[in-house]
Formats: sequence, C-alpha cells, structure tokens
Amino acid sequence: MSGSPNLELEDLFAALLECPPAERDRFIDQACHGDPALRQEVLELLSTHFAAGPFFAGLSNDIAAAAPLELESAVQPQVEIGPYRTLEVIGHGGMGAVYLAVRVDGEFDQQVALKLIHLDMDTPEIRARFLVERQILARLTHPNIARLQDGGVTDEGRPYFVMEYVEGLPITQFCDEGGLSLEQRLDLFFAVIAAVSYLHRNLVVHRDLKPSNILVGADGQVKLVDFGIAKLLAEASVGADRTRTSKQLMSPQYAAPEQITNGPVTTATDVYALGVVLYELLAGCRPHDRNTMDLSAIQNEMPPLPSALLKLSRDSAKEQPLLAWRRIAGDLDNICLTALRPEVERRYPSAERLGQDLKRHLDGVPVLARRNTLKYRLTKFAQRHRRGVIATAGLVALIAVGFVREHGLRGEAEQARAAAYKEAAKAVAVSDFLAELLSSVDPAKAQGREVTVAEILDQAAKRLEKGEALRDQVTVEAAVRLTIGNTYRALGKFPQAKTHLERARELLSRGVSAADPEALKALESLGVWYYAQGLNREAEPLLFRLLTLRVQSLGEDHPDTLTAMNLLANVFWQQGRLDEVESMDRKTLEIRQRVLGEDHPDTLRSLNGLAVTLFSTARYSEAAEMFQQALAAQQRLLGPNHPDTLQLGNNLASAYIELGRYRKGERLLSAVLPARVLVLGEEHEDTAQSMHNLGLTLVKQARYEEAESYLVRAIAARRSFRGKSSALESRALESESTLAEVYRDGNRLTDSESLYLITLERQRTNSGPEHAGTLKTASGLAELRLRQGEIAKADALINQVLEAQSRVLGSEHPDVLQSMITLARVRNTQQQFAVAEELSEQAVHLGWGTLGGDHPLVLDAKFEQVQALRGQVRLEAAEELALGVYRVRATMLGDDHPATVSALKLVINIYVAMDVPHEAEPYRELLAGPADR
Amino acid sequence: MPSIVAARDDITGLLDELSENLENNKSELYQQLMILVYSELKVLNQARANRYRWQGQENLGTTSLVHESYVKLTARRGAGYGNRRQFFAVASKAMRSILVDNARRHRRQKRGGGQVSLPLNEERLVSAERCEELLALDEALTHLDEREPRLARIVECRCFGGLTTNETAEALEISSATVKRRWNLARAWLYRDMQAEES
Repeated sequence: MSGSPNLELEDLFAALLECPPAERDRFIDQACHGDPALRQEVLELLSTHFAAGPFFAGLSNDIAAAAPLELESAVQPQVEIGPYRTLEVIGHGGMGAVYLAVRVDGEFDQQVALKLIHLDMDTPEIRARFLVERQILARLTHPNIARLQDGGVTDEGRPYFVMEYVEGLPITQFCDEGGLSLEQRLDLFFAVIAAVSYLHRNLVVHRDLKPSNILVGADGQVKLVDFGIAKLLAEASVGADRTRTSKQLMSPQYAAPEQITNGPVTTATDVYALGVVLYELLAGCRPHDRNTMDLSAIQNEMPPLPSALLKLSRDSAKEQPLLAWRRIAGDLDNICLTALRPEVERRYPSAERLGQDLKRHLDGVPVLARRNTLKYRLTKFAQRHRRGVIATAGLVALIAVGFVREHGLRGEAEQARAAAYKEAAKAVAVSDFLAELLSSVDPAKAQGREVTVAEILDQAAKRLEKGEALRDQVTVEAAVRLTIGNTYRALGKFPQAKTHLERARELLSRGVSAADPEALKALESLGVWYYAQGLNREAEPLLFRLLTLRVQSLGEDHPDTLTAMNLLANVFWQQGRLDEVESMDRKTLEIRQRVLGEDHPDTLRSLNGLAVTLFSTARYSEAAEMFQQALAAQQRLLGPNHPDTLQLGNNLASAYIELGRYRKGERLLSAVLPARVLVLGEEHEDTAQSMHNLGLTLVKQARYEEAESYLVRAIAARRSFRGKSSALESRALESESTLAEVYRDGNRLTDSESLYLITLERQRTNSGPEHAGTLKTASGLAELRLRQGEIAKADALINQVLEAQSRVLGSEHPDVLQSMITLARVRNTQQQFAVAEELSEQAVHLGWGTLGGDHPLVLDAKFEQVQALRGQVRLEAAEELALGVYRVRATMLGDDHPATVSALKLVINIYVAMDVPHEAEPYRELLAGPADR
Repeated sequence: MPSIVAARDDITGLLDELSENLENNKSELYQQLMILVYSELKVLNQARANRYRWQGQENLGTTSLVHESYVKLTARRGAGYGNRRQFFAVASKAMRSILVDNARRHRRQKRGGGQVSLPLNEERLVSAERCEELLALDEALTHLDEREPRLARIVECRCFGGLTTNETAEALEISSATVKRRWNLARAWLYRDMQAEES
C-alpha cells in the first residue's frame, strides 16, 4: 500500500467512527465502492477499534500515568483546567498530580485542591457515568473528610476532581513528629474510623486508604482526602480493562490481598488498609515490607505482632521507642492483626466493627479479636470493675475470718450447728416439694392444664409475711421465697416477684459464703428478673458475678455454670452484642454435647439458642438447619405440644419467612399456632408471636384479608398482657406496622397512611427514633408515599431512613436492603435511571451474599434494576434480567402473585419496546391465563 | 563517559540544530541526542526509584521522567519553546527503547532461570506481565513505522512518552484533531497486527 491510499484510509476511518452505528454499513458500501481490499481493511480495523481502545488505555496508563508530576509544573507553572487555574503542585498520588488551584472567574477566591488524573475517558457513556458518580460523592459531608466540591473532564479527556484544600501532615508523620502518646494516636485513629464508617454507611468504599490520604491539620483535625475516587475511576473505566485500572489504582503498600488478586472489593478492603495504618501508628513501620517480598506472600503470611517489633527495637537499638510494647501487647496486637487477616471473612467486616472493638479495648470490655476464653473475659471484667472486685474479695476475707474466730471460740456450739444442718436439710426437702408444686404454674410445666395455683401462691406469700411456719429457718425461707418469686415472675407479676427475690438474697447474704449454691441461686433469680424486664444493664453485673463465682466453685463444665453463661448471653443478645453471644452459644453447645449428649433437652435448648443468634445475624439457612434438627429431637423427647417444641416450630417458620419460603412457613405455623393457643392461651406473648408470623407469611403471599385478621389478633393479644412494658408495647407496634404494610400492599392507601403515621409516632416515643422497628416503619411509609405519588416526600424520608439504618444495623441487614430497593424505586420514578441502576445493583449484590440469589428481596432489587435498564433503553440487558425475575418469582410465589404478574408485564413491555411483538406473545397468553381458568 | 558529560552542557544546541531537520531521524545528530536522553532517563529513573521507595511510594511512571529529564538537560542554558517540543518527541522515542530493552532483559532472565537478578527499580518500571505485551507492541510498531511513520510517531508520544493529545500535537507540529484521528487508526491497526501475530 502506498502513502496516498493510507491517507484516504485515515480520513475514511475517522469519518466512519463519527458515523452513527446504524448507518455504518451503508457508509462503507459507498466509500469503498469498487475497492474490495480497502473495504476489507476498513471492516477489520473497525472490528478491532473497540478492543484496541481499552487495551491501549490500560497499557499507556501502566506505562505513563502512575508518575508523580511534580516537575510538570516546573515546566508549566500555571495551567487552566476547567474553570480553575493551578497555582502550584502540592502533591502527587498514584493517578496524577494534585495542584493548589483557584477559580479562574474569581467568583470565590477560596483555594482548592485539584487532582488531575491521567486516564483517558474516550466515550460519552464513560463520561456520563463518571459525572453521575461524582454527583453521588459530592453529597457526602462529614467533618473528617475533605469534601468533593467539583469535578469534570478536560478537553483532553482527563478527569479532574476539586476538593476542599487541607493543610496537614500524613497521620503517621504527624504522630511521629509530634511524639504523640498511644492515647493521642488512638484518638486520631478513631476520627479516621469515624470518617471511613461514614463512607461505608453511604456505600462508598475508599479503596486507597494510606497515610498520605489521611491528613492531620495543625489543629489536630483529621481529614480524609481522595475518598471514593478510586471507586469512581474504576466505575468510569468500566469500558476499559477493569483489572488493569484497579491494579493501577491501588497503593501496593496498603492494598488488601483481594485487591492484588483482583478479588471483589468490599468495606473489608478498607479495613485491611486501616489495619496497615494502625500497625504503622503502633509499631512505627508497615506490617510487610513489600519492596523485598513477593506480593503473593501477604496472602499467606501474618505480620509479626506490633508489640514484638517494639520490644525488639527497644532491646536492640539505643533509642527508646515512642510507645511501650507492653501497652500494645494483647488487645491492640490482636485488633491490628484481625484487621490484617488475609482472608476477608475473618477480618472485621467494616470500619465500624473495627472501631467498636478498639473502643471496647479502651473501655476495658472484652475484645472480639481475642480468643474468647472464659478466663480472659473474667480478667477483663476484673480490670474494668477493679475497685468493685477488690472490695468484694475483701468482704469474702472478712467473713472467712469471722467464721474462723467463731469456730475457735465456741467449740460447744458445733453440735448445735450440726443439728441445725439436719433440720435445714429436711426443710430444704420440704421447700423443694413446694417449689415443684408451685412451679407447675410455670406454663412450661402446666402444658394446657387449667392453671389454678395462683391463689395458692398468694396464700403462701401471705403466710411468709406473717412469719409463720418458717421462723428462724433462714435458708428454708430463702428457698421458698426464691420459688415464689420465680413463679410470680413466670406469671408476669414482676413487682411481687421482686419483693420475694430481694428478701431471699438478703436472707442468704447473712453468714453464708458468696459461692454458696443457694446464694448463687438468689443471685441468678434476681439477674433473670432484671433481664425479663429488659433491664439489661442492671442484669449484666449480677450475671457476670454469678458466672465468675460458678466457674470458680463448680468449674466450666458444670450445668449451673452453663446456665449462668446462657443467661449472660441472653443479656448480651438483648444489647445486640451478637458476636459475643455467638461465641458463648457455641461454647455452651460444645460442652453440653460432650457432657450431656446430643439429645438432652438442654443440649437442644443450646442448639436453639445458637440458631437464634445465627438467625439474628441474618445467617438464615444455617439457622434453619439447626432449628430443624432441634425440632425433630424435641418432638421425639418432649412431645409435639411442649412449649419448647412449639417455640422451635415457630423459630423454624421465622427462618423460612426470612428465606422467602413463605408457603413452607405458613404450613408450619398453621400447626404451631393452634397448639400455642391451647397450651399458653390466646394472650401469651409466644402465641402472639406466631400470629404475627402467620400474618407476615400471608402478606408476603398477597393474601391480605387473612393476614389482617391474624395481625389484628396479635395486636390485641400483645396489648392485653398483664404487666405492660415498653418491650411488649414495641412488639405490638411491630404488628401494627406490619398491618399498615398489609393495607398498603392491599391497596387500602388511606387506611395504611393513618396507621403508619400513628405507629411511627408511637414507636418514636416508645422505642426511640433510631430503633430498628421505628426505622422499618418509616421505610414502609416511604414506600407508601411513593405509591401515593408523593415522590418528594418519599425521597426525603427514605434517604433519612437509609442513613440511620445503615448506621444502626450495618449495611448487610435485610431492612437496609429493603430501603435501598425503595430508594432505587424512587430514583426510577424520577427517571434517574443511572442512579437507580447503581443502587439496585448494589442491593442485588448485598442481598445475594446474605440471602441468596432467589430471595424475594433480591428479586425486588433486580426488578428495579430491570426498570433502570429499561429506562436507559438498554433493552437486551433488561430482557435477560426480567426473564430471570419472572421465572424465579413464578416458582417461589406462584403465577398469580402480584409480584409475578408485574414481572410478566415488564417482560412484555420490554419486548414491545424492542419491537419484537411475537416474542411477547407467549407471555401475553400467560398473563391472560389466570382469568381464563 | 566523558562524551555524555560534555554533551550534556550542550543539549539546547543539539535541539536547535535538530529542529531544522527533524524528519531525518537517521542523522548522527539525532542519534547523539537519543543516547543522551536515554542515559539521562535511566539515571533519573534510578534516582527516582530510590527516592520514592524510601518514601514508600512505588508507582513510578515515565511521564514525569520525560519532563524531569528535560528540565535537567536544559537547565544550564534554558531552552526555547521550539526545541522543547522537539525534545518530547525524542524523549518519547527514548522511553520506548528503555522500556523495550527492559522487557527483553526481563524475558531473557525468566528464560535463563534467574541467575542474574535485575535491579528492583528497573523491574518496576513496567509490571512484569506487561513485558510480553510491550514486546509485541514494539514489533507491531516497527511494522507500522515501515508503512506509515506518521502514525508511529503518534503512538510513541501518546503511549511511551505519556503525552496528552495536545502535547503530542505540539511536539509533532500537527493539529489536535489530526492526533486524535491518527491515534484511533494507529491503535486499531496495531491491535489487528498483534492479534494476527498471535494467531
């Protein structure tokens, strides 16, 4: 080929690229008329053009873009970028230079930091996507992050960002130059965690955390810079080679293993980088020297303990290390290394969790990163309550001394004592009998027989007050009072219960050692009393003391020790400290399986407990399996109508509901509910629970009238309990909220609105504005607003809810997912399809991980994704996804379910938009089907 | 290497002379400048690698190397606008040589079983897995240079010199639109050539 045809080719090719795709064929026919060789070449080049762009973008970025650009400005001191003029280079990152800049138009003479990125953005789609993402980031404001103010793309196609200008030093340098103490360092690090948590709550992963992106100003204020830019760029270059871009975007010294291997990037990726920074703050150097080691090694090797390094440098060097290794050894070592775990699932899942654990360390509460041995917990408890424990120990010593003295002085009294013991033993036997009799009031033992013991109980109490029968038999009286108190408690008569329990404890504290079994029983009963009332903060120290004393006197394996551990686990559970609960549950289960065997009722109770914990951390299928196993055994051992069996049936049904297996859940509950009504009565909370759950399975199956009747019953039952408490009321409100959902989905919008508003108001007062239940109601109300066409109200509300929910519940909770879907729906309605797509994609991703791909919520998210794609006229992608949603819904929910029908309609709509009506035909028939039958 | 030291004083003169006959890149003048720039880039890269490794930053690139070498090489006398432009075209070409040499050595070393270990920083100039791609590109670029040198110059500037569209346009004294047009065609052409080689 000579020079001149090539010149032709150059112009021809340029013109061809300008040409709309639809007209390209015609254009080539015309231009290459009579020149088959040229035609062939043009076609070949066109076919490689689209692959060539990303390849070269990746290659030249690899070669050229990663350079620090300090000298560029020596050549070009002032450059105009968009509406900004650069003043000087103030830094350089992996992707380009950072300039100090001002606006050219002088409208604001505020100085800003402008980051110019070396990355080509060739196509309009990529630019559009980039601008949308930038918009999302610009909304984020937090005192510890440098706000993204502006951004754009230069004429050369290079993106730039404009950020708040921060004068400061990298956090590591700030700490070292200022000679900061451990506490001061951790304080700064907490601010970093706060900022990163904020990003995580807003579904932004920083991806490039390192000291040079964490600046500390002269005022000690921490500012995170460059947040989200890495993600944004990775998204923006989606057309290009993702792997290459992501490789180039990370800083190898701080990158997590999954970034090096191109695994999925999550909030845990930031946790890893935070771990490196923390390590550096503590040990004074980075955990791995990646200049000299193979990068793949960080996937397998754990770095040395920070404290070990400090100790080493103290021992070997003359200079004194800044921090004392002893203070790092233990918790801080463990926290650091947990953040640095190569396996994502063993790391802290988010910055929030890392922060919680650090905070626990500072507060002297047991740290999760540690192996949770009982001994460790107790040491920790003793540290925290040092004064209290010392005082108690002193008391024990005093009593012991008292005994010895009494013993020595009055040898004569010994015989009398022995006699008293015998009598006491007899009395204990009597009181045990009484206990047994009275305990039959406990519903767990009454099993549906008519309860008539309440009067006996009151009479027994009266007799005790008069001091008849048990005068001078202190231990016996205490035992009887314990039984009466516990029985009152089981009947929900809390004030009466407390009188007896406190009196019992008082009686037992006289002249008996602290570890006396009866005294411990009193301690236990009081702890349970507080717990049953939801007074967890009061219950915790009592139960902790109980556990400590029982471990000391009975050993770890003793059933009473395990009871204590379980009670404490219950308290933690109430406080939402689920990770601790899980480890305690597993420990108890392991001991019981070993000591009591698989089929012992207590073992099964442990199994249920562990399953409940797993359930509460959204691990539903694991939980369902355990519930099922326990249920089968309980039915065999205790019969189908025992309260424990029914509890398990109810729990298994709850797991089915969460897994989206509504029909299965319904079947199970239809058996459990009548049995609970029979055994416990209509007004028992457990019965109400099953009514509520049955209502829930029905609303999810679009059977609104039936759902309504069960929920109304549940509300009535929950409001009728003796002994009102805010915990009970909050459950009644939960049922009300679900009822509002029933009205909403059943298209009774006015009823729904008034119920939602009342419930929300009550929940705010009763449980607080940020209670999970309150937020769920608000989320449901936002969905209602959307259906009422009040888009602006829906928008404002759901954003507020989502922010609070992800803060309170963490980003993986199903409620958060639900709210994300509502937000995506709002965006779709506003025709902000790109944003809606992003949101729904995230929701699908989150739900997939926790709930599985065929869960109704995941399908709801996918449905919104389809709408977003449809809105952007990306019909082929929409078609594929829509068909998937339709098929799974048809299987899971049935053909007639409204959700299935709307998926079907969407499929048809897409085919119509694609202009292939014949494809839509079979689906139209399906749609007509139910009416024909 | 006394000749380089002497020449270093005189780079602006070389550039001035070169700008008068840019097209003749086989000339002795051009070769002399090339050697000079090549050595300077390598020295700078070495120093840069040490410096940034010390600071914990590893992402070394070439764009600023090119600029930095220019500042160093012209520091004594200051350079005019015209020869600055020439310089970037030459430096881009020099950068191509450095990178390709580096990649060749890497490949040799890999095949030879790693008896000799390369200095770390040279290795890092381009990631190891890029080496094969780079060599394939160099080969295709040589083909292109034979058929259509104007396109090859653009690739050198954009790809190896890290120059922007506008900088490339300045360096080669053509319009930005032409740079874009030729860059599109050159990429497609090279990619096709590399694919054909592969299959």
